[in-house]
Amino acid sequence: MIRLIYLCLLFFFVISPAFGYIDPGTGSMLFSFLTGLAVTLYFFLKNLLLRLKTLTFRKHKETVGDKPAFVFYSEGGRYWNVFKPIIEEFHRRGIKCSYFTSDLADPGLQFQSEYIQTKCIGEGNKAYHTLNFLEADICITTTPGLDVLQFKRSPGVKHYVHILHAVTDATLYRLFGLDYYDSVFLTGPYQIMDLRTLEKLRGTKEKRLEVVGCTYLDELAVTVKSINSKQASENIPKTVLVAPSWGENGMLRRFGMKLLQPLAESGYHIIIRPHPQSFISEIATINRLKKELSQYSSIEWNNDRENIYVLSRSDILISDFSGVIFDFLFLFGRPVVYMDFNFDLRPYDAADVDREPWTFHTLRTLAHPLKEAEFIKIGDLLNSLRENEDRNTALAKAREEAYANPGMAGVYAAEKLLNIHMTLQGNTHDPK
Amino acid sequence: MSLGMILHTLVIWPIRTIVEILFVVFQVVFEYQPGISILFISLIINIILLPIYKVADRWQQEEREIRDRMRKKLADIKAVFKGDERQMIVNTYYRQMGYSPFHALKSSAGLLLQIPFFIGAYEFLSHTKSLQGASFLFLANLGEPDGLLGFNLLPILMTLINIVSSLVYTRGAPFRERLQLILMAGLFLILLYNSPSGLVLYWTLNNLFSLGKNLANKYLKKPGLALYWIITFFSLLVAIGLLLGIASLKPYYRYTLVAFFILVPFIPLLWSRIMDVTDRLVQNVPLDRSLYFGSWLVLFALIGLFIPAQTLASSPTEFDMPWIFMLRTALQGLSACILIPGLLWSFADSRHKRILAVLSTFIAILSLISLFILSGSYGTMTRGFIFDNPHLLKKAFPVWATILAVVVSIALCVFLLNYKKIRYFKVFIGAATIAILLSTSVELYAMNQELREVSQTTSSIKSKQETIFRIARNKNNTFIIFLDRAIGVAFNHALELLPDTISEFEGFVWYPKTISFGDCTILGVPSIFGGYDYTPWNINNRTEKLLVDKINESLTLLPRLYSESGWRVAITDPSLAGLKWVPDISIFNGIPNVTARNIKGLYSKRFLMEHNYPPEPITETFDYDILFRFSLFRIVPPAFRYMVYYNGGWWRDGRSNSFERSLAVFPNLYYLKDLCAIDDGPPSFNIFMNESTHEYGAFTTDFMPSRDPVRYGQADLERFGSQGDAAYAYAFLASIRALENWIRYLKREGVYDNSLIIIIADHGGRFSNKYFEIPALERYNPLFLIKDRGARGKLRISNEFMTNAEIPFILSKLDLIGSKNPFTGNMLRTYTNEPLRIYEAPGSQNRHGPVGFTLTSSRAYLGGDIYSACSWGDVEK
Repeated sequence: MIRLIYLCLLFFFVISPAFGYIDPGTGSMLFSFLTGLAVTLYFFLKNLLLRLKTLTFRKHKETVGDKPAFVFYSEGGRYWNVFKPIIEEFHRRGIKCSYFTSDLADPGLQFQSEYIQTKCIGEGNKAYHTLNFLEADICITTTPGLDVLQFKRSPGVKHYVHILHAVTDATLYRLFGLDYYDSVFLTGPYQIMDLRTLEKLRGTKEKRLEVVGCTYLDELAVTVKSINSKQASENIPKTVLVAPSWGENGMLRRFGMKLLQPLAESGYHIIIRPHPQSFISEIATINRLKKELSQYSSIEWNNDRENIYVLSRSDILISDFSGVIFDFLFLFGRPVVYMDFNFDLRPYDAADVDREPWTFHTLRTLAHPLKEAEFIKIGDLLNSLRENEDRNTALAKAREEAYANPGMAGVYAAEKLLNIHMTLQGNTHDPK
Repeated sequence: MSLGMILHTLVIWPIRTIVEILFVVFQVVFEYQPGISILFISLIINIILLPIYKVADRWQQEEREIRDRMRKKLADIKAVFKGDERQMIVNTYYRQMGYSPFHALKSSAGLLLQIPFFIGAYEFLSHTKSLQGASFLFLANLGEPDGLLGFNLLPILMTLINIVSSLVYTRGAPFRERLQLILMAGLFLILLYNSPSGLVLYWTLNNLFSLGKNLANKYLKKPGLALYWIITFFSLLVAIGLLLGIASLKPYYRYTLVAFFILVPFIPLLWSRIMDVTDRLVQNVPLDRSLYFGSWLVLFALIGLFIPAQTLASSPTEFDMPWIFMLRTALQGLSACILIPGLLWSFADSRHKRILAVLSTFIAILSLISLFILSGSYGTMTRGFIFDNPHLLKKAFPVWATILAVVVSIALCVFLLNYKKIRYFKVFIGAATIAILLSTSVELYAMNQELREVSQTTSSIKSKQETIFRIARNKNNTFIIFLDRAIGVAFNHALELLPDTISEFEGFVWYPKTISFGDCTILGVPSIFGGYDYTPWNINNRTEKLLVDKINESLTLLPRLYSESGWRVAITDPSLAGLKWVPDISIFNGIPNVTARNIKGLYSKRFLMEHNYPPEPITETFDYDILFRFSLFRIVPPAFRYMVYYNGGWWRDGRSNSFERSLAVFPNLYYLKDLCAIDDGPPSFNIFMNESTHEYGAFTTDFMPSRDPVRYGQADLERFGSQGDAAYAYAFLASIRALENWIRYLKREGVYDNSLIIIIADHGGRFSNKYFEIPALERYNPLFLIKDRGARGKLRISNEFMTNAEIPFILSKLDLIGSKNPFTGNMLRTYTNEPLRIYEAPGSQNRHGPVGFTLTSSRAYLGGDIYSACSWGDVEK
C-alpha cells in the first residue's frame, strides 16, 4: 500500500510538480503547454473523424483503359447547362471526355456521343470518394471548396478547372472556395482582380484565369428564344417572381411572412421559387410558409428543374443576391427589386477583399433596392417601376463587364481546356 | 526493459548523470559539504537553462503573435460556420497562415526541454544518501525536513520567494494568470513540505535565481550587463576564496582554477574576437550534417556498443544480466552521442553548426587514436571496476603522448576539413563504423556462447539440489572453513560481544597467536593447503616450476591425499586456482571423488527475498551506467584517464558496491547448511572458502548487509577505533554468527561430534587492537580455530604459537591420510624452530610470477610471543 502511494506520488511528481520549481514563467508555460496539448489532441481526433467520414477506405482504381484526359463533374442536373456547351463542342471536335454527375436525373446522362462517356457516381461522400481518387489529366467542376471541404485533390489528377456558374463575383463563394484550383474559367474580366488579390493575401498558388464567358447563360438564351417565339401571351395581372437564395441571408428565412403577406395582398400574381437547396436545408421553413400562405390564391409555388420558363413568365423579379437577378437582367432586361439589407460577408471570400463586390455596386445601378420598411407598401412600389435610359446604359456596361463572348462561351472554354491540356503534355500530345 | 525505463535512460539519465557528476565534483572540491555542492549545482543548472529559456520565450512569443494575427478571422469563421464545415475551414485557414495546431506544442518545447532537468535533479537529490547527516547554515540535517520553529521553515521560505518571483514575472498580466502561479507555488509547498531539506534548498535556490532573473528583466535596462557584473563579482569571489583555501585542492589545481576564475570576466569581452577567429578558421567547412553526425555515429559505436561489448564479453559471468546491461549502456550511448548532439544541432545557427562539425570531427579522431593506438595496459579490474593497480593509470603514458595525440588529431582535422578531403573522412568514418560494429558482433557472439555454457553448468548445480558438501552420518568428516582475511585479534570482539554464539562453539580451540607468512591471499593460501613446502620462500626457491603450477599443487594436495584414502572431497570457490580471478576449477579434474564448484552469488537472490530487501531502483545500482563511464575512460587520451576513474569512484555519488560484493559471498556462509546433506556414505573432506570477512563495509549493527551507506555510532567508534574498523568488525561478527547457524545444524543432525572443523584465514588485515606492539602486524594474524572430533565443552584459548601452514600436517595426523607431498616428495611437517619470515607483496596475482612471488619486504620471526615487539626482526626490503 505504501509502495502504491509512493508510486502515485512519484507519478504526480513526474508529471507536474517538477515544472514548478522551474520558474514562475514556466507556470504559465505549463498551462499553455497543457492547453496546447489538449487543442492538438482535439484537432487530431476531430480531423481523424473527418477523414474517416469522408475517405473511409480507398477503393480499387476504376480506370478502364487509358487515363481519361478530361473529366467533367457536375453536382446535379441544374448545372448541366454550364457544361452542355463545352461538351457539345468536344463532341463536335471529336475529342473524348467523361461527364460524371451526382444526379441520376441529370439530362447530361442522356447525351449521346461516341466521344463522351457519361456516368452517375452517386451523391455526397460516395461521389467525393470517387473524385478524391480520380484518374484524369484535367477535372472540370462547378463545385467550390476543392481541398478545403470533403472534395480533395486526387493525386491522379494533374489539373483542376473551376467554371463559374454565375456572372456574379467569383469571391462570393464561401471561404477559400477557389483557392486550390489550378484554373478558373470566368464569365467576365472584372472577376480577375479580386481573385488575384486573394492569391496574394493568402499566398496561394497563382491560378490560370481565363475569361471564357457564361456557358449556361448562352444556353438559356437559346431556350429563351424558343419560348418567346412560342408564347408571347399577355399576362394579366402582371407576374412577380420571388426567387430567393438560401441560408441565413435568404429572404425566406430572414423575412418570411413579413414580406410575403403584403406581396400576396398586392394584387400581383406571385410565384415563389425557393432555391433548390432550400428543399434540402430549410424544408421546415418552406413548409411553414406554404401552410401560412395557402389561403392566398395569388400565390404560386414553383420548383421546376429549369428556372428559365418561370423567369420568362415573370414581369418583375424580387430576389436577394442570387445569381438569378443577373440571369433575369441579362436575358430579359425586365425590372428587378432586390432586398437591401446589411449583407453579412463574413462567410465569403469577398470578406477578405477590401473592395465592395462588383455584384453589389452594379446591382444598385440596375435594380431597385427594397428596404424592410417598404414591405407594407410593396404594391405601390411595384407599380412605380419604369424603364429608364440610365438603367439601360448601366445594363449594357454590366453586360460587357460580366458576360464576355455571349453565345461563344462553350467554344472558348473547350479551346482553353485543350490549351491547358497541351501545356500539361508539353505541347507534344494531341488529346484526340 | 520497460518502455518507461528506455525513455528514462534516453531522456532523464544524461541530465541526472550531469547533476551527479557536478555534485560529486563539488563534494570533492569542498570537502563533502553537500550544502555548498547544491548551491553550485543550482547555479550551474540555471545558467545552462538560461539560453533554453530564451529560445523557449521566443517560441512562445511567436506562437502568441501568430494566434493574435489569426484571432479576428477565427472569430468570424466560428461565428458563421458550423460543424464539420467550420472544422475544415479552420484547417484551411491554419494551412494558409502556415500554422499547425502542433505549434501550440512547439511553444511549450522550452518547457519540455526543461522537464528532464527537473526530473533529473529531483531524482538525484531525493535519492542521494550524501545528504544524510550533513548540515548547512541553519539546516542541521539536509537529509531530513528542517523542522525549524516547530514546523518546516525552508519550504515556507521557498514558497514566499516563489510567490514574489511570480508576482514580478506576471506584473501587468491578468489576475487569472497571477493566481495560477500563486496556486502553483502553493502546490509545491504541499509537495515539498516534508521533503529532505537538501532538496528544498535546491528548489529555494532555483526560485531565488529566478527571482533575480525576473527582477533584472523587469527593472533593469540592461539585464545582460547586470548578469555580466554578477558573474564577474562571483568569479572574483571564488578566486579569492580559492586563494584563501576554501577548497582542498592540490596547489596545481588550485592555481589553475584561480587563473580560470580571474579570466572569466574577460571572456565576454573577448568573445566576439574569439568568435571572429573561429569563424575564419571554420569558414571553409561545408555546412555538412553528415560530417557532424558521422563523427557522433562513430563515437556512439565506440561508447555504446564496442567497448561495453568487449568489457562484458571478457567475463560475462561476473555481471548480473549482461544483455540488459549491454542494452542499457547502448541506450545511454544513443542518448549521449546521438540525441543530445542532435538537439544541439537543431538549436544551432549555421555558424555554430560549422564549429560543432569541426569539434565533433576532432573528438571522433582523438577518441579513435586514444582507444586503438594509446589503449594502454592497466592490468586487471575487479567486477566493481576497481583497478588492481591504479598507479598504472597515471604512469602508463608520458604526458607528451596525450599532447601528441591532440596535435595529430588537430592536424588530421585541418587536413581533412580545410583541404576539401571531407570525402576521405566520410569514407573513413563509414569504414570505421562498420569495423567497430563487426567487432561488436564478434564480442557479443562470444559473450552469448560463454553465457550459454555457464547456464548449462549452473542448471546442473540446480538439478543437484545445490548440495555440495556430503556429510557422512557414521563416518568421519573434516571441514576447512576458509574465511578470507579473517583477522585473529578481531575474534576477541566475538568473545566479548557474542557470548551466546561463542557458547555454541563447543570443543573449539582458538589459537590467537597464529601467523601467516604473507599479508595477502596469494601468499597465504598456498601454505594453508600445502603446508611448509608452499611458504613464500619455499615456492620461490623451487625455480624449476611455474608459479601457477606450484599454486595449483598446493590447492590440490589435500584433495588428492584424501581422495587416495577413500574420502569424498568437495571444495568451493578455490581462490587462485589456475591463478585466475574466477577460479579455474578444472585443476581438480582427474582426481577421483573430488567435486569442485564456484558458487559466488548462488544464494544472493534467495537472501534478498527471504530478508525482504526492497528491490533497488535500477538507477541506484552500481551497474547503472558504470560501463558508460568505463567507455569514456577508454576513449579519453591517457592523461585524462585517471581523472575519469577518480580513485575508483567514477564520479558516482555515494555508491560503493560493498553491498553487491557482500551479497555475492555472505549468503553462501549464511546458508551453508543448505549446501550440506547428510548420508550414510564414506567419510568426507570439505573445503568451504568464503570472502565474507573480506568484502566488508556493508554490514549494519544488526549483522546484516545493507544497501545504504552505513554509519556507526559513537559507542562503536570508541570500541573499534574508527568507521573502517567498525565496518570490518561487523562483517567479521556477522560471519561468526553465520557459522553459529551451521554449527547448530551439525549438532541437530548429530554429525557434530564425528566432524573435525578447522576455521582458518589466509592472512589478517589492518585492525585497531591493543595486542600487537608493532603497528599493523595484525595483518599477519589470521583467525585459526580447530575442533577435534568428539571434543565438547567451552571454547578454549591456546596461547601456543601457530602458523596457518600447520593445517596439512595436523590433518594428516588426525585423519590418517597420506603424509607425503606427491609433488615434492617431502613429508608434511610441523614447525620445528626453523627460521620463519613474513612478507609483504602486491595483492594482485598479475603482478607475480611467472616462476615466483614478487616480494617487496619481509621481517623475520625471532620466536616467542607474536604480540611482542621483541619477537620480530626489522623490516628488510
